[in-house]
Amino acid sequence: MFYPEPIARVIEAFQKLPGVGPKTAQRLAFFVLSLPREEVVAMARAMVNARDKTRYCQSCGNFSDAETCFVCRDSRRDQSLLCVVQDPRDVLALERTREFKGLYHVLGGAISPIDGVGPDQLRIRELLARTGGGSFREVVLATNPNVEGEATALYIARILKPLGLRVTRIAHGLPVGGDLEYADEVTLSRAMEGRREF
Amino acid sequence: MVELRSDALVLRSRDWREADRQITLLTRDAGKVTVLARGVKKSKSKFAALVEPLTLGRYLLHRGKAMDILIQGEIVKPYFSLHQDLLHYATAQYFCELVERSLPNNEPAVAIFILLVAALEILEKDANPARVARCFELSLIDELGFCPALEGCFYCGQQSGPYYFDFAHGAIVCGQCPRSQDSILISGAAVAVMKRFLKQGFHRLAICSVSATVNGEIGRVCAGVFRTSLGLAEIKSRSFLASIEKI
Repeated sequence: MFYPEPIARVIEAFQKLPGVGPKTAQRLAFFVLSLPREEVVAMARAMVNARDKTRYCQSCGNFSDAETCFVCRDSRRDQSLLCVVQDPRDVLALERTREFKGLYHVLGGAISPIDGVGPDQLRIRELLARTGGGSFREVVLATNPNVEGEATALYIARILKPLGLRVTRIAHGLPVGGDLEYADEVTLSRAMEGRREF
Repeated sequence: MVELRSDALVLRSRDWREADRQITLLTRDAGKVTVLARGVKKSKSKFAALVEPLTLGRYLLHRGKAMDILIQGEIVKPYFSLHQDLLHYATAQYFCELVERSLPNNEPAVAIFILLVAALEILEKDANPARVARCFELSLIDELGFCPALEGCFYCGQQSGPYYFDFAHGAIVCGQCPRSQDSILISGAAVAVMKRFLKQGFHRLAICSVSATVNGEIGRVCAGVFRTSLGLAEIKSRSFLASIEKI
């Protein structure tokens, strides 16, 4: 190896990050070396702290630093509206819109029969337990608009509808700033299906 | 640059690094291939729908050593209606898993490509996915070279059932002749339906009446053939299919 052992170890560690190859890992390692010691310590502590203190919300499965997450703790939110998402990162994406004021339920993935991911591997039993109490009037299915996400939404709708809940699915269509000419047939046909009065 | 231009069906799609996906295609010309589709997870990617499972399209690939790279493509048919019903979707996924696991990479399999596309076409229209599944299983077994011998008892040629299906011979045997331990009982009606499926395939399948009992019997025979002849012991999507049939 061309580098002293401590630097080589940092480079090796950075390479474990998604999307980081050997060159980028080297650049990051040398950037870290150029920082004041206090900043490097603070950075390392923040990472360890996040790893140690982050857990899943007991109620919805979102990331949290306490037993329940910031959404479930907020009593001002609409307690009768529940949005089902695949991943905790989807909660953050929806929160950025500031449009949704209800609660969330994180499934932890999507049904993929070919990969052996079925309903038992997801937090669907917990969803049934949450919605079984009758406190929700509507469940919004916000799983990804791909084959696995659609299958998951279909499955959940199938088990929730007998409970008498209003089950809705987020709309599909063209991205803002997109171009009709470059949109694929499936997206376009879905956008056409979901057109509304103007 | 070596390229492959072919009609193909997406059997499987999985996340690969940050914004890429690795897909398994069953191509008409080169059989099963593994392809890297770069940047397709980005919201503005024009190939996002092209790499979704159960999509039939025309693909242009750059042939790589370990993996091919998706250059261009266009959708021929997205089998959208199969995504709208859980039972049809699970059945289609089951077909894809069977094909993916029973074929080696890069070996042309035109007949199986045609069979799979035909099965998805029929599945879209048929209200009884289980009937299509049994017909597909038998046709696939036939195409893979393991066609069961159903013209009377393997030993004495007896023409009336019930029989036992002997997996060691891939044939039916009557109750009086010797059979291996893992043989299973199969009715004359199930044998008749299997012969019909093997002879006529999907032709006029919609008017072929198959009872749940006969369907179950044929399903057990096919599962046994996949296990003993192809080494497919655990088929994940089949377990899922069985679980949703109950709800």
